[in-house]
Amino acid sequence: MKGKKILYSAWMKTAAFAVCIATAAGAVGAAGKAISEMRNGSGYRPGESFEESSVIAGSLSSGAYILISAVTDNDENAVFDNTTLESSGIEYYAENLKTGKKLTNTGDRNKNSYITDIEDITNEGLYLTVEKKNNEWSADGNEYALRNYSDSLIYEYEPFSDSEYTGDAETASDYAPGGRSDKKPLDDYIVYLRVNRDKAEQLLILWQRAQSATDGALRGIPAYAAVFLLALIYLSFAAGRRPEDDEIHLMTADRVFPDISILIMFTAVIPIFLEVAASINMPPDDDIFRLYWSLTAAVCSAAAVTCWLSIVKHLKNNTFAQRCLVCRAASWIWRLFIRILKWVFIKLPKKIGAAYSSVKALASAKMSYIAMLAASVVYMWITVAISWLTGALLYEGDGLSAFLVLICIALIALPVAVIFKTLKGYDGIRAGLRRIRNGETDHKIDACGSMLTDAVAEEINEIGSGLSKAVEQSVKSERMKAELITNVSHDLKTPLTSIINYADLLMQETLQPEEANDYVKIIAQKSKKLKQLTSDLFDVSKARSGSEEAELESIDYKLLITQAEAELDGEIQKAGLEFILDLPDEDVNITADGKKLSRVFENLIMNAIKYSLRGTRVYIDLRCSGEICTTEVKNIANYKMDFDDDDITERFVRGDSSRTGEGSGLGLAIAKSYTELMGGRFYIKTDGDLFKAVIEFRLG
Amino acid sequence: MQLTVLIVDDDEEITRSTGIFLKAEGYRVLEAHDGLEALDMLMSEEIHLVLLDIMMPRLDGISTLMKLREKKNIPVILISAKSEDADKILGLTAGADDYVTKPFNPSELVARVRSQLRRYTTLGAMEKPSESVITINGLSVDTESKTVTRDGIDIHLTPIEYKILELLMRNPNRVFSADDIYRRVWNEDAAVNDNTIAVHIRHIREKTEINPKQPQYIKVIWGIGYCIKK
Repeated sequence: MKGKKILYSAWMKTAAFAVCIATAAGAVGAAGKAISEMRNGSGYRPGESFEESSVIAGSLSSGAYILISAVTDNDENAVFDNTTLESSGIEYYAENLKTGKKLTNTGDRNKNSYITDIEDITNEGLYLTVEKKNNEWSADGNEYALRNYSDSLIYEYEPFSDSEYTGDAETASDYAPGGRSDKKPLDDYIVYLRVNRDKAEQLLILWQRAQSATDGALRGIPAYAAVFLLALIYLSFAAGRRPEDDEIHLMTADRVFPDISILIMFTAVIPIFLEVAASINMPPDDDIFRLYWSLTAAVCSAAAVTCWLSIVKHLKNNTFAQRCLVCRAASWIWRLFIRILKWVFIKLPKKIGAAYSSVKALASAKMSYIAMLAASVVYMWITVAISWLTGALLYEGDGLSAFLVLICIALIALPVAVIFKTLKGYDGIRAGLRRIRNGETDHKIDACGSMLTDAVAEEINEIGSGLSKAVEQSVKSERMKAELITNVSHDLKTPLTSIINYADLLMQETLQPEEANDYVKIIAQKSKKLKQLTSDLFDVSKARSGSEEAELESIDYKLLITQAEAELDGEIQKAGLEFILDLPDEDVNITADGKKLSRVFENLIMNAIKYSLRGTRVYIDLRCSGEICTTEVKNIANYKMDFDDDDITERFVRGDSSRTGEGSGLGLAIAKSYTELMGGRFYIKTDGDLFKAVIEFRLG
Repeated sequence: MQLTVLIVDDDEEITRSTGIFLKAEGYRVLEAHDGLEALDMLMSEEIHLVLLDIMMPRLDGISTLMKLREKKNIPVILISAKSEDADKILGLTAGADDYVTKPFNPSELVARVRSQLRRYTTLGAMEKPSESVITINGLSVDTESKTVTRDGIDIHLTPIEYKILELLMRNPNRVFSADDIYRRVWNEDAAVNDNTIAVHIRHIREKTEINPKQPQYIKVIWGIGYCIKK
C-alpha cells in the first residue's frame, strides 16, 4: 500500500516529468555541442585518428593553395609568398624538373627530409608532394593527402592548364589568382609540403580538445536518452493512477482529442530536430545560444510528453477509440450508413405500404371526394385544352373559334360561380356564428345552395338549437329555484302569522294555572324569532341562488356607515356599548347597492351588539389604500370563539355552538352573500377575543 | 258610528285572529276567504276598510283590488307573505294604501288600520286646509303654528327635529344629504363624520311612524341621504 502511495504520488510524477524535460533538454544540448565541435576547425570526427583527420590535410591543402599562386620572379624562378606560408606553418620544397632549380622556405634542400614517415608526424610534421607532369598531377609519398585533396587542387588548378594559357602570357594573366600578371603556373615543378612542428602541435591541441568535448557530449546522449526513457516509462505506467484507488483519472488536459494530442506531439518534436540541425553552424563555445535552444527543447519535450501521457491515459482507460476524432467520425459515418441502410430496406417499404394502404382506405371511404377531385382535374384539363385549341384556331383565323370562345367563357364561369356561392355560404355561416355567440341561440343559418357550406350550416344549426334548449332549461330551473324559495317562504309565513296572532291574544288573557302565562310568553318570543329566521333564510337563499340582483349606484360610503350606525343607535345604547367610527376625512365613493350594503352593516352591527362583552368598545374603521377601501368592524367577543374563520359565514353557523339566544345565525351569511353580490370581499378574522369582520370594495 | 273592516284571507285562522284584535278595538269585522267572496261582500255591506291578502284562490288580491278600485275609494291594506320591493310597489301602484308583510305584529296592524280609517273618515269632514299646512300621507306640518299631526294625532317634536321635518316636507321627493340638512337647519357647515343628523332622523321617525323599522314618511336613501316620498 505504501509502495503504491509513493509510486502514484503527485510529487513522484512531477519529479519524473521534470527529469524527462531535463534529460530531453540535456540530450539536445549535448548533441548540439558535439555537432558544433565536430563541425568547427578542429576537424575531429569520432573514431578518426589525428593523422586521418581533416585538419592536417586542411592545412596542407591551404598551403597547396598558396603554392599554386606562386609567382615567377625576374629570373624566371617561381617564388612563393613565404610570409603567408610561414604563418600557416607550412614548409615547402619545390624542384623544377627541367632546370633542377630548387626552392624552399626553410633552407633545407634535402627533399627526403620533407618526406617523413607518417607515423613520425608529430615530430616532423606533414608533407605534401605535388607533382605535375604532362598535365597530370601525381603525388609521391603521401597517398592520403592526394586521395583527399587532389580533387580540389585539380579543380583549383585547372584554369592554369596549358591549353588555356601557353603562348599568351597576357591572356593567361587574366586567369591568375590574385590577378597578378606575372604569375606562372607550377609547371614542371615537383613540390613537397609539410606542416612544421609548431603548427602540428597547435593543431593537435585543438584536435584533442575537440575530441574530449565531443566524446563527452556523445557519451552523454545515450545516458540522457536512457534516463529519459526510464522516466517516460514510469510516467506512462503511473499516468492517470492515484494512490487511493485503481481508477484511471483523466484531467482537463485529457479532454483534448487523442488525434490532436498526437499531432501536437509530433509538432513539438520537430523543433528539437531543427535545433540539432542548426547547431552545425553554431560555434562550439557559444553556450548561451545553446542554452536558449535547450530551453526550447525543454518546452517542446514537455508538450510532447504531456501529449504522450494523455494518449497513454486514454489507452489505459480504454477511451482512446471513443475519444479519438477519427474513430468518432468513422463510427458516426458507420452508424449513418447503417441507418440509411435500415431506412432504405426496412422503413421505406413500410412507408410505401402505408401510403398505399391509406390511399386505398381514402379511396374506399371517401369515394365521393376522390371522384370530385378527379372530376375537377379532368374538368381543368378539358378547360385548358379547349382554351388552347381556341387560341390556336383564333390565331389561324378559323370561323369555329368564335363559338369556342363562348364555350371557354362558360367553362371558366362555372367554377367561378361555384366559388362565389361557397363564399356566400361561408359569409352566412360567419354571420350566423356571430349572432349565436352574441346570445341568439335560436338563430338559424339559411341554406344558400352551396353543397360545401350547407352541410356545415346544418351542423351549426343543430348546435344552436341544442344550445338554446340548454339555455331555456337553465333559465327555467333558475326561475323554479326562485319560485321554490318564494313558495316555501310563503308557506312558512302563513301559519306563522296565525301563531303570532294567537300567541299575542293569549298574552292579553290571564291564564290558569299561572305558569301558562310564561309558556305563552315563550311561544310569542319563539314565534317572533321564527319570523326573523324565515325572513333571513329567504334573503340568504335568494342571494345564494343567484336570483337576487344588486342595483348598483355610486354611494357615499362614509354616510352609509354613519346612517347604519345611527339607525341602530337605540340598540347600541341598550346594550351598553360604545361605537367608535374611524372614517377618513376625504370622500369615499363606491359602487354598491345602498339597501343591501346597509343590510350588511346592520347585520354586522347587530352581531357586534349581540356578541360583544358589556362595556367594551366596538370599532368601525374605514381605510383606503390604492384602489381598495377596507372596512373593519371589530369587537371583543363575550364568549370563547372556537370556530373556523371561514365556516362562520356559512348558513346557520354561530359562534356559540349551543345555538341559543337571539339571532338566526344567518346574519354573517347574508352579509357575505350581499357583499359578494356587489363585487366586494367579505371575511372574518379572529385573534383571541378580538372578532373582526372585514369588507373590501373597489373605489369608484 | 261603528266602522266596518273586511278581512280577506284564504287562511281562516288569520282572518279569525286578526278579527279578534280589531273587534277589541271596537270595529265591526267581516271575513272573506277569496277575492270573489270579498267583492260580493263589498256590494252587500257597507265597509270602511279592507285588509286584503294577495295570494288567494279564485281571484287574487291584486285583481280584487283593481276591481274594488273601479267603484270604491275606501282604504285598502294589503297583507302578504311576499316581502319583496317589487311586490310592494306592484300592490301600492294597484291602489293599495298600505302594505304589511306576513307575519305581522298584530298591534302594528291595528295601529295602521286605525291610522288609515282616521285619515279616511276625517277627510270629508276636514275643513279646507289652510295654505300654511303641508300634508303628505296623513302627516301634516303646520308651518305657522309649528305643529305636527299624524292622522289628527298631535306629535311633539323638538325645534331641531321640527326644522328637519319641515325642510323635508317642503321639498317632497327631494333627497337631502346630511350636509344639506346641516347647512339648511343649523346654517353652518357640517362637522365631518358626524352622525347627529342620522340620530335626529331616527328620533323623528320614532315619533311619527307607526313602525319605525318600516318607515312610511322619512326614508333613508342609503349612502345618499334622506327624503320624504309623496
